[in-house]
Amino acid sequence: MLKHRYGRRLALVGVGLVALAQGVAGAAPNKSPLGPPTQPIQATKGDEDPLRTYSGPFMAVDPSNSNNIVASTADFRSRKCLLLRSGDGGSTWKNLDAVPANASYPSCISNNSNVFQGPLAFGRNSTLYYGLAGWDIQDRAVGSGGNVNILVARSTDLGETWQTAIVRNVRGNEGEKVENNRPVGQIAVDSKSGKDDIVYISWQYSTPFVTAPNANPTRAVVATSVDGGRTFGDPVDIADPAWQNPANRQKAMQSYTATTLAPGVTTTTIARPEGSRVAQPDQAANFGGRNPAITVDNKGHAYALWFNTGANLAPAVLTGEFVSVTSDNGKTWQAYQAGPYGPYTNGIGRIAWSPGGGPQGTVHIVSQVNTTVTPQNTSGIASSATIAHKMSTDGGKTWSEPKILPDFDAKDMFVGVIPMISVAPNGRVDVAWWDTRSDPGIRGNDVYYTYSNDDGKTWSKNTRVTDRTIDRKYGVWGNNFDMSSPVGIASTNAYAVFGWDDTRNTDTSLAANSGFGGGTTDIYTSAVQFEVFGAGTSSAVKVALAAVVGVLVVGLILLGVSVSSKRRTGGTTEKTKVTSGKEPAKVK
Amino acid sequence: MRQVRRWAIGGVTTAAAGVFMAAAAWACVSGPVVNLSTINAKAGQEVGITGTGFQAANQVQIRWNALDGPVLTTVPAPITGGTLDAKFTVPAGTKAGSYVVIVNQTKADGSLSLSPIRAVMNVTGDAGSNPVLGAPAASTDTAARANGLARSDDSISFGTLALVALGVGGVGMFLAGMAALFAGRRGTSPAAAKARS
Repeated sequence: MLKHRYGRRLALVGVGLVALAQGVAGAAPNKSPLGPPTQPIQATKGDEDPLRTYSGPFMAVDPSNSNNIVASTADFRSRKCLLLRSGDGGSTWKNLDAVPANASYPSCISNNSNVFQGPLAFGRNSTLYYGLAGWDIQDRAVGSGGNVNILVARSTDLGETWQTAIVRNVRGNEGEKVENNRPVGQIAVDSKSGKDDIVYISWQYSTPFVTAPNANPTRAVVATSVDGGRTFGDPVDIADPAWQNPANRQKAMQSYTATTLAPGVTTTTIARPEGSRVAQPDQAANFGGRNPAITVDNKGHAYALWFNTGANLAPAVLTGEFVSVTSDNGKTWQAYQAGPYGPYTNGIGRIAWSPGGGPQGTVHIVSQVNTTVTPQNTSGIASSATIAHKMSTDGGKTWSEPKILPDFDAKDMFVGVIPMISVAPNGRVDVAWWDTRSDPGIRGNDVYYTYSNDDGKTWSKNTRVTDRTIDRKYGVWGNNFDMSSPVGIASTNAYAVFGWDDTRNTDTSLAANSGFGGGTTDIYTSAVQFEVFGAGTSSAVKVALAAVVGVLVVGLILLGVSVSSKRRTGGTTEKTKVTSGKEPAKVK
Repeated sequence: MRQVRRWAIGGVTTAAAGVFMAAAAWACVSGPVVNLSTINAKAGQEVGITGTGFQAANQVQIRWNALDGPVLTTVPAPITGGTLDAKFTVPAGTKAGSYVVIVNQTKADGSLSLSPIRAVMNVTGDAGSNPVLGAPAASTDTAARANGLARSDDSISFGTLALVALGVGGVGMFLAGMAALFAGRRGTSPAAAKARS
């Protein structure tokens, strides 16, 4: 009876403790921000040069420690790509000395218009990957933008040192072989499927000296590494599968006449020399892609967003949205059309994947579109843009209707441009973009943000992330040098962090700063917080330690019970008790 | 000081030229640009406005303080070279304050052909009202913002760690208790058989 009592008591205490622990630990994560965005921090603080000009950053958070945030940027003075790092959740930043570029390809800036400089992504064991263009004077000397190469740098110490692979090396090419590989679109890392990280990098390229009537269209390509970014395979044209299909080519060629044109769009007539590509427009070589962006799911698939282009086609085809999917580490791709051809697709977009929403998760596209696609506005006004979200729950085969994310009144015709998207580990989808609704007329813009907790079905009210409108009369944005950088964004369960290029520190009393392209451009960061954030070391280590403590406690209790039991039974061992339990059998 | 400025101007110009020369002709979504001859004027004062990047084929309308506000002036098409050069008068009787000048381009049927361009205009004099569009001229967010992320003492609180330890301990105790119970039953059931005999 004594043993029964102990057993029941132990079991009851155990059940109670487990229930208590589960009840508290199982509380749902925060679904809405704890408050307004944090006070912006000058990430480039310490650089006192009045001519400093940084591009807007790409951002990523160390998956094993949310204190570590990294931000890539291009320094327009030196043309180098750099890495900024925070070890305290964005409160302070350090501009690291090491540069990701290979020494013989020191320059990375590519221009212009909505250019993405230096995409970042983390892989397993906090390995950081940095995609960038690489070139030197000799590469540009060949003319027309020159030979621009593609690099991927990897760091296992958060940017203190780099090992850089040359993904596409076109140095020395001349004439029709000159290859303008820019801009780098995006880098995505599959850290689950392979023995090592599978790294995808997307970019577009053009061949400026291959001209009409046999010009090449811009091509959208992806190169893949299956050894953690150490080596890469040849780039694969992700748009080509779409154009090998004659039906797709016909659909594209008919798009021009099948759609109402935007005001100001005119048609042209060109000569069609016999035997040229112009004379035979219906061929795959006349169709291409541009602005490719890429993401991965948790089942070994990669999804690449791109927009169609054409060459030697008169009239030119209109722009449509496509997504190509690979299941074999980028060797082959299947292309699906995600958005119709139309004059209002701006050809700028990003892609991300969230684990919820269906068995295959949800693929998200955010893209910049003319406001004429909105239900509120079909007027066909030029140069007015907004942000649309689409999603697919069947692996990119079919897509939802676009949903407009900026919540300003359409009749005010504010502008939303260059969206960026990021997904937190808990599935929260974060989207940020440049927005003019708070601009009182200074030719400025702000960062605005929205999030979805249900895989894109519904979206939060827009939040203004910047604390003051950025004056774009200074710096290199838009109408100055058209170096319009996207907003940097990265997501954790606890927060979404944002980074942007900001002219607020321009000394307006300096005559030089009021000149074309003058002024100072810093990087500022801010965060929208969803959960109280910790400061310590790895969470996994702490949980493991706690578990060890728990096991020790159990051991001590069992030891106590054992000692107590021995005393009550006068030192009889458990083995003896079991033996005595067999005594009735002997009687029998 | 003058030398520093010259160097600065020279530096900016050089950098600008480098970037500009390297630039490819990609589409820009920013649209036309306008500049006012002054951003501070009194009611009734004439102000010059220049701009570039307009559509040559459509007229330009300059409106006061709203997309559908009073038309201050109209520049008929063609807008040669896409360049605007016009004048307007700040409406008489306008109270002091910040206003927005809206520059529209319209087609022959009166519909807009361009996303409106905005420019700030400060009317000097007695206290006036803020612009009706967008944020105040200072355009600063007044929301109470925290300095950095809200933090606990650790990324996992002591309470959470204690709960994990309790949970593991609880599971262990439960298993130990069940084992003890099972062993006890195995040991006592033959005794019941003995009682029956």
